[in-house]
Amino acid sequence: MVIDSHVHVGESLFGYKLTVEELLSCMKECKIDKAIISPVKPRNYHFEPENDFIANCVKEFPDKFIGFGRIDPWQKEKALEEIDRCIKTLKFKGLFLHPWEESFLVNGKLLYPVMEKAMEYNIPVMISGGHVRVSEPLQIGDIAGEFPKVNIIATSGGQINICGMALYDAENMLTENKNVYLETSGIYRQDFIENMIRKLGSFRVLYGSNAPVMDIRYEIMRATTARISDEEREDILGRSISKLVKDEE
Amino acid sequence: MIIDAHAHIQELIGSSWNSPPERLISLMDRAGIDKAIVMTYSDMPGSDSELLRYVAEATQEYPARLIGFARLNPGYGPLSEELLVLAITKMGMKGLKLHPVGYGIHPGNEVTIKLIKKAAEFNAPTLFHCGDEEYTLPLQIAEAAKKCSEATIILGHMGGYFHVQDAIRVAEKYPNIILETSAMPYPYLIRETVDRIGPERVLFASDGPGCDPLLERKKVELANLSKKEIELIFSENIIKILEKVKKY
Repeated sequence: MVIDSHVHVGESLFGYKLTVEELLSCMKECKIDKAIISPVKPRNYHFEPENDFIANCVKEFPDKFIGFGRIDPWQKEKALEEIDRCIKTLKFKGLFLHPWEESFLVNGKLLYPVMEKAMEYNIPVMISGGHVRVSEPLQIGDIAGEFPKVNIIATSGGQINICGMALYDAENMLTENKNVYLETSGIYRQDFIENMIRKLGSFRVLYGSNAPVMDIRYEIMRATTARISDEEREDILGRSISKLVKDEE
Repeated sequence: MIIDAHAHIQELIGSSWNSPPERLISLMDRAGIDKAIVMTYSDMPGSDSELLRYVAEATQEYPARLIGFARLNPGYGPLSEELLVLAITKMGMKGLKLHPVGYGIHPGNEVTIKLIKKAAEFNAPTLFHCGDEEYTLPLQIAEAAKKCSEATIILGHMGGYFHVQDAIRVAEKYPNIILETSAMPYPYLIRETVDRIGPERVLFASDGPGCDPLLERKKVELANLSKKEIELIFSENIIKILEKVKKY
């Protein structure tokens, strides 16, 4: 079972877009069985209709998609209500947060009530990681340390730095916070993924493409070409995320 | 023929950055890459005075596979220039590598310009680390390209994760700027680059062995390029640049 743990469906305010049909055809081409899908930020800035749209996609293709809800913590009380709706009504399995597109500090007090909700529902929180000033590796480590019972998926391993200067912090953050999982999209460098599989265990590493920002056809190769054992590859290509979202049946 | 225009060798025992030439060559074999331009991670002059010799010895040991570039800190002025001349005239090196994050000097600074101009006297290109950090941004390196119009300036990583549009912009403006594909994760931006500046000023590179040359090769192959564009980007463009470098 191959699962892409990070895909956005819809048309983003920031120009990128992906339709369900395009995603399904790309999944077929790349031999991906399932994808975790979450909303883009739409032109009207409202996540509620986008969450409905994602829920409908899951309803239409229940064996292909797992839904994650997206909220803007700046909406405060309304965001918390939307989390309730995402989990109780829309039956989502997790939350997606984008500190860069929603302009909030991932370890700021603003996020604490959101994390408390995630803890209450026992759902994982995927965080778009590695953005300067808002979701740097040590900032993700800080919020993970405050909420050790919440599983956090740090996209790009929490570091997007082509200089390699964030690798040290990301490795320490992942080592110290056992509730943080490394998602592989866009990662600098490939040996970081391979080393982290050895150091953290393959169940802490998840293949994700971050499509359509990134290219599924390329991103999946980070997992398929990695110099790791077959067992480890099966973990990062599907088993790890499956356990995390309790999608094992 | 595939030539990797940017890869690394250096002994750093006990670190994940440890990159003896054999580590790179085994990845090149796996990826079907014939040759790689190699440089160290550290600058000269610096803590290890043997670094230039290390690159020279590796290229002598693997002449069919490795081509050396001298990675230098321009801040030492005449000494940096002396090392560059030595590297090119006595050690077989073909270019200069600058990584301003390592030494903290702006690409447009006078000492950097002098060193780039010295390289250009030998028709040797200058490869800059060009990513998302201060002193490595495309618009900052463009100042060097403007001041050294006779020099070939290669933007390694073509602007990194967030500055690719700037890299294409400055390449549109300055004909002596070349973009290099390593580690930048977006295949479609390679296509856009070729559309905007032509296929003659784009080079394939891996930034191996930390980045996997196989993966980096696949990325370029996913960019919807024609057969001719592929040939230019994978080898013909860099061959043309290296052929111009004065021989000793």
